[in-house]
Amino acid sequence: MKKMCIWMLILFAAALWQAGAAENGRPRIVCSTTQAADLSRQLVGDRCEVICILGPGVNPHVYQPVPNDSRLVESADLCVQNGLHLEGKNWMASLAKDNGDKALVTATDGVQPLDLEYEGELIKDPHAWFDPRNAAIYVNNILQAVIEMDPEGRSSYEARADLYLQQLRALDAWITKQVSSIPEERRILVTSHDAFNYYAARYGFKVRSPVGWSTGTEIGGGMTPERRRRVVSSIRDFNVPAIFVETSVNPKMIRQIAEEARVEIGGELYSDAMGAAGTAGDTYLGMMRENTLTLTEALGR
Amino acid sequence: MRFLASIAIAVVLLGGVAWCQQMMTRQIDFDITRSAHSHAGNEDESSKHSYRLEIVPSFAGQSDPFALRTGEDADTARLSVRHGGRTLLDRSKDFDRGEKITVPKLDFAGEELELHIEATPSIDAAQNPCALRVRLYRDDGALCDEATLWTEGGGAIVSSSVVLSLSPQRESVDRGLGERS
Repeated sequence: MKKMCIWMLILFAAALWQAGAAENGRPRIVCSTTQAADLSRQLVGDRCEVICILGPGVNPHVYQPVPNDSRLVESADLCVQNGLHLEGKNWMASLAKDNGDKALVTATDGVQPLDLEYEGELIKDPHAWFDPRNAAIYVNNILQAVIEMDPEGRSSYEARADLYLQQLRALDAWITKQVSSIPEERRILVTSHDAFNYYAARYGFKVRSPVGWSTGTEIGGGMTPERRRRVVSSIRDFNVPAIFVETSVNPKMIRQIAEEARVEIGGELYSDAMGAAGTAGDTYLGMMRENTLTLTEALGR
Repeated sequence: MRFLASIAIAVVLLGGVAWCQQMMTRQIDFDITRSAHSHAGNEDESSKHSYRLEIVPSFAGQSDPFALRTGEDADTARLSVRHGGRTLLDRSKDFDRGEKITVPKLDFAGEELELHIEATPSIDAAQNPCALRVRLYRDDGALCDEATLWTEGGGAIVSSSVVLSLSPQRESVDRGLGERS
């Protein structure tokens, strides 16, 4: 009986070891942002392990990498970043280079970037994922890199990408339909920082934002009294029905502006990061859906 | 005597049943053979001809921002026609609304064929229902079959399979939201 128990224990341990080996045998993809991680996950399914450095609601512009990030990147087979300097001071590219010169895919390669004014200079707006057509470019870029990393999985990666691209197409059409319920003169988007230019350009919103784009500085660093006055006055001039706070930005300033302009807060928008697991905004599709519903409910009244 | 008579009757009955069964089996064999000959005849008939496919979209076709791009070539098909594993048409140029697109000299065998057709309307056009008229002609100009594929709008692309007859014109059928003609 004793021998039998020992054998069973040995078999059980062997099974556990096998399972562990299989888990460790999967290629590992380390992504900088939650959006890049979600899109990667949609393509690779359970064939690869996808890890995201930033947590939900964390601002990538001002993030400072920690030692554990280096360890993660060191163990990666592929790294994915947004690019266009969304990752302040290019922290993801530096991590990939400094930890074994890892393969790095920049998801925004091939995107037609919009210009953004920052401290009197024109820079490229990094928030390209807010146009689903750009999200499709992200998907195709990640797909190429994943196929290069694991050519044997090509057919399954392509099949998943094909399905996901159809979902992006449906999302784009659905947003267009939802936004059409907002009268054109009410499509004015006032948020904490310039994150929604691609969304605005795609769906016909005008953007007013009190805070400058802010790599390397604290949110609010771009604020000047002149800019704040312009925002408050445009809210009044255009009779904006509601303004919005963002999940990854301190809402204090936008609340002050709302008070000053005597306008209500229309809700919270997912911006630089998606929502926490279990929330409606924990995927790219969910985040875009919830943002659109928040906007249409507040501005379409 | 009675015993012998019973055996004789049994033999006659069983023999009759066996004979009937044999005749029925021969009839089935004959039908199958005749049917196979008839099918082969149709195949011979269809293989004598080549076909021309004519496609007329009710929308302009443009590059698809949501297409899967797996190669170096950034351009993707606006209109593609596939039969089984064979690609009959992969058009990566834009096309206009009402433009007649033809695929000549196609060889098919059998009585009918299934085509998978995919077309990408421009983003604006895709918001509304889109239609694609498909006609199959024999090389002698006879119309074999035609069908219309529809989308319901809302950004959808045309992506559908259609079965067309290889014999000259029979009833025309509209697929999707269209009506029978």
